[in-house]
Amino acid sequence: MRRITKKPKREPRRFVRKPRPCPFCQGDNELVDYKDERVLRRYISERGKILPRRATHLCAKHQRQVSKAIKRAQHIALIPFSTEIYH
Amino acid sequence: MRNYETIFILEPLLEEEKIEQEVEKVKKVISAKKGEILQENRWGMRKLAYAIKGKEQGYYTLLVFRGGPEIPAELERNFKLDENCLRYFTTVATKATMKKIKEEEVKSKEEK
Repeated sequence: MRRITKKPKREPRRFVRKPRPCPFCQGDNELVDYKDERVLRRYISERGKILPRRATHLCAKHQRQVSKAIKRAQHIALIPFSTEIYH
Repeated sequence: MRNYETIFILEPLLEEEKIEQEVEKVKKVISAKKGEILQENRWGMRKLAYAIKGKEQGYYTLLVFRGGPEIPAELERNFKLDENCLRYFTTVATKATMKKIKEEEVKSKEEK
């Protein structure tokens, strides 16, 4: 009789993303403001696009507020709509 | 009565006097409709993120005021007619703005 040796099944690898807390939710209670160009510039790409949540690590609430603030800041020319990149 | 904030950008080529006049004009519109100005913040000449009407710079002014809903409507009408106004934006005062004003009030009280 042949012994059937079963290979132990390998657990499927799961990708676990480290939770990173949303900076606006942290203790200091900073409010999103469309006039605060310095903060908003952190959330746009060098092309001027609004970064997605996976890049900003913001919670849904603050991502929404930030993206709205960026659009307002663009209107009053604090932040560019787009910038050209030269190669 | 609500708190509003309006931000407007004036032509960079105006003389100081004329800038003063323009800002006063806007403030008059607010006070004529019984609005109370809570804060006036002149950012001054700033570089624009992109050219507006061929201008690379502009004179920024922020006004926070309290009053009825007819004020933003009247402001909008005035800004539209004003050739010297490159951009304007009026909104209900944000939480961030009100927080700053409160902080300033506390500070000025402490100084007294």
